[in-house]
Amino acid sequence: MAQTTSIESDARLMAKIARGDSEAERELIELHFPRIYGLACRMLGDQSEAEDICQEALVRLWNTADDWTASAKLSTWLHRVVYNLSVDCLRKRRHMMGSEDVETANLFSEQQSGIDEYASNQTADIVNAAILSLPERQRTAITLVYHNELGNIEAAEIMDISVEALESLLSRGRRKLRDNLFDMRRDLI
Amino acid sequence: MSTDDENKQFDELRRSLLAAYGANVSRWPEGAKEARDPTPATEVALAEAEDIDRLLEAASAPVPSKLQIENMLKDVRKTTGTEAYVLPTRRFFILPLGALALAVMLGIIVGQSLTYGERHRATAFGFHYLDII
Repeated sequence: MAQTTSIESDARLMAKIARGDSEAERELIELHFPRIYGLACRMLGDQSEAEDICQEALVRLWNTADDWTASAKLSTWLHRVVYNLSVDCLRKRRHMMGSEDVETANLFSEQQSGIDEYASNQTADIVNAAILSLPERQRTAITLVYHNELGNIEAAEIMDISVEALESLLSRGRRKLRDNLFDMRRDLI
Repeated sequence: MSTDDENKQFDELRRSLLAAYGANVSRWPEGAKEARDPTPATEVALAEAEDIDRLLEAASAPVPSKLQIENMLKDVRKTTGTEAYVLPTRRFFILPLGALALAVMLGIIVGQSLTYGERHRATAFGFHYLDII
């Protein structure tokens, strides 16, 4: 029922955007941009690239406003586009660098500068770096479920995987995070 | 199935839920909330899940500033031409103007071809075009 209500209210919001309602535009950006930005930052480890990806996704959404049908949740649609664009971006980066190791190493160095801006203490810095060192799909699953607080079905739909596969990614991601932070865990908790 | 087997299965389910979704039951799937009651066999898994939850809560995902939100709104409006609603140049003027320009061009082409046809016919009959007029 809540899902239906959300889909209907999303459709009303999109209809307003198609009519050029500036208040609706602001509402949509304020509601969805922070969440998709968080996902893109976590996936890419780079805030300016994350902003570009979010802008691309939002422009695509604006362009579909006229034809928006009440069959999908806006948040699912947006998260999915951001997820796919981020995967493409990572793939290009990997291709340019020549190997996955370089990508991970790069992420780590980029993260540090990015994290300094948004984390307010040392614990957050360390944990953020540990999250960003997780494999791409594990950190995406963790971000969607823990930080963007999406349900398991929606998160699985965004990543185009089954709920079982999502649960496996979450378990492995959490375990790896715990292992990575094991030595410093006593100080952190 | 014996009660022991049922208990083992229940513990296994609870452990896998704790491993995937953590200790906060509100994150668990709707159908799995029956496994929320703690059992002695899953105490260690619960403690581990709580530790990892605490770590994850300490590191929230980055949030854009108010300025970034304002800039994003401006950029999206600029890119999609939504600003046209404030100054209705694009959507309300460009299309009709384009149609008008096309109509004028078509008129010129058709007019030219007719004029050429008239002149050709007149010459064929041995008249100078201007003499007919």
